[in-house]
Amino acid sequence: MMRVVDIRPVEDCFDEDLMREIHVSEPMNEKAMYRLARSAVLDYHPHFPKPYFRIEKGGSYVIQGVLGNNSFRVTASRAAGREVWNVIRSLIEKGE
Amino acid sequence: MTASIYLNNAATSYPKPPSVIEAVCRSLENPPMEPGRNIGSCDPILSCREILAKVFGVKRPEQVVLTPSATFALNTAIFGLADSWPQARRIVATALEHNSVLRPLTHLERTGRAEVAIAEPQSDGQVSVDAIESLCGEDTGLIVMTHASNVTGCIQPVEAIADLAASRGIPLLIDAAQSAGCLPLDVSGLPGRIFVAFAGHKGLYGPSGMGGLIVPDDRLGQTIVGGTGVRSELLHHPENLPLRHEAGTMNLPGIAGLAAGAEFLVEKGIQSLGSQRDRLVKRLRGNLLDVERVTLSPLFENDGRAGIVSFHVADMDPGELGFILHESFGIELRAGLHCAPLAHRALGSMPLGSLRASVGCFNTESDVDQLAEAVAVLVKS
Repeated sequence: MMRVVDIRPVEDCFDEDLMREIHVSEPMNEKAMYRLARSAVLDYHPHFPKPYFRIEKGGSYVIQGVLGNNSFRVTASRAAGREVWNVIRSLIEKGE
Repeated sequence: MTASIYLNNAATSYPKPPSVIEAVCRSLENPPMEPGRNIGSCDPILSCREILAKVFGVKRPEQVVLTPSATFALNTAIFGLADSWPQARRIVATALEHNSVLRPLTHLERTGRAEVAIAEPQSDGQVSVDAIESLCGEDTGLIVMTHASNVTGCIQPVEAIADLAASRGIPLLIDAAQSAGCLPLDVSGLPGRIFVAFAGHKGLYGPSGMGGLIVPDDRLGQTIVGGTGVRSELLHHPENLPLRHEAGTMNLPGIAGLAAGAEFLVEKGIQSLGSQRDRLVKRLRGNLLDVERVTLSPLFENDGRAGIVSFHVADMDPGELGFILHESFGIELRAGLHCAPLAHRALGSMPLGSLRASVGCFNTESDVDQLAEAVAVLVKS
């Protein structure tokens, strides 16, 4: 089962959002990507050198990553708060 | 992922010349040299000052103060000058300045020690001498400006500004963080009281954690005092150059690496490397102009020697593009505000900033071609 092994803050130019890098226990694959995209809008580009995905959940958060990497990036709005990380963890770990 | 194409040399040059890596390793392998105590052996700190004096056209190596960064050097000059003012004075700067200038100036303004006036760039990306002159008054205590914008790479008329500053008796602080090693700067040929702050890890090819300040004299106020390893009988900090502005144990591996980087630069030639960057910049700008929805930031007289190409893609977030280019295409560049918010405001690229590609001496035509091709793919997707 894929697990979230670390959530690290990402320094960025901008202050209005919370950005985190989510590290997972195995490389991201399509199955995990589609789990993250449940009830959200998926923008998927499989033809890029490393397939890129972007998942947007309303005004709550945006997930960006590439398949094959052991991490992806989440930008959460301040309004969404820290509950976002639990939601992401749940989608990754309990959605299988 | 580790990017396979590195186009972020304006942040930190990479890769480093082998001689720089060897010098750093040698410094760490050998017993630490102590300034002033290693009789008969080569003094690496003096050697570093000497080669940097050559790069900047400075007459005396003791005018080269070694610092941990350009930011530290700029702080040393700005606060050192302001401390000598009996009352608040005006500081004239440009909208192209990095936060390493803007934040010290804002700090002085907020603490009632200065009034800051900002000159805006023209549409071609350069700040005119007239724009600076119009802001200078009787109470102006300092002009500070970048030699080359870290956002656009536009080269600024620092020689003409030096003439203006000298004619009015105003000190000029040149922020050469982006230009040191990229553009010739003959400090001893400039009139007036000139300070130059520089970074060691960009165009000088040294390691991170090194920078410096060229000072014209020993009249700048001291902003750091402490141990120097010499003149230990004194309870006050030495007042002679360069110790006047240096305290604490020196970064010897960094200094050795910076000296080797500057040697590499002198050997290759500033002009020659500048021409190489200029060719790559022109090629990249030409390629990007062929891509739909791409807009290039202005580049004064199309002079690309600073090695920077800043651009936008209509309706696309530069941060997201930078992320995709890095993670998916293996191309590293820098997206965002580049610590220069007023520059982006002037360029109309607030609040998201731009994408900045910056070339160094190890980049090839293939590198910049691949970036343009990747941007074309992204625009079409």
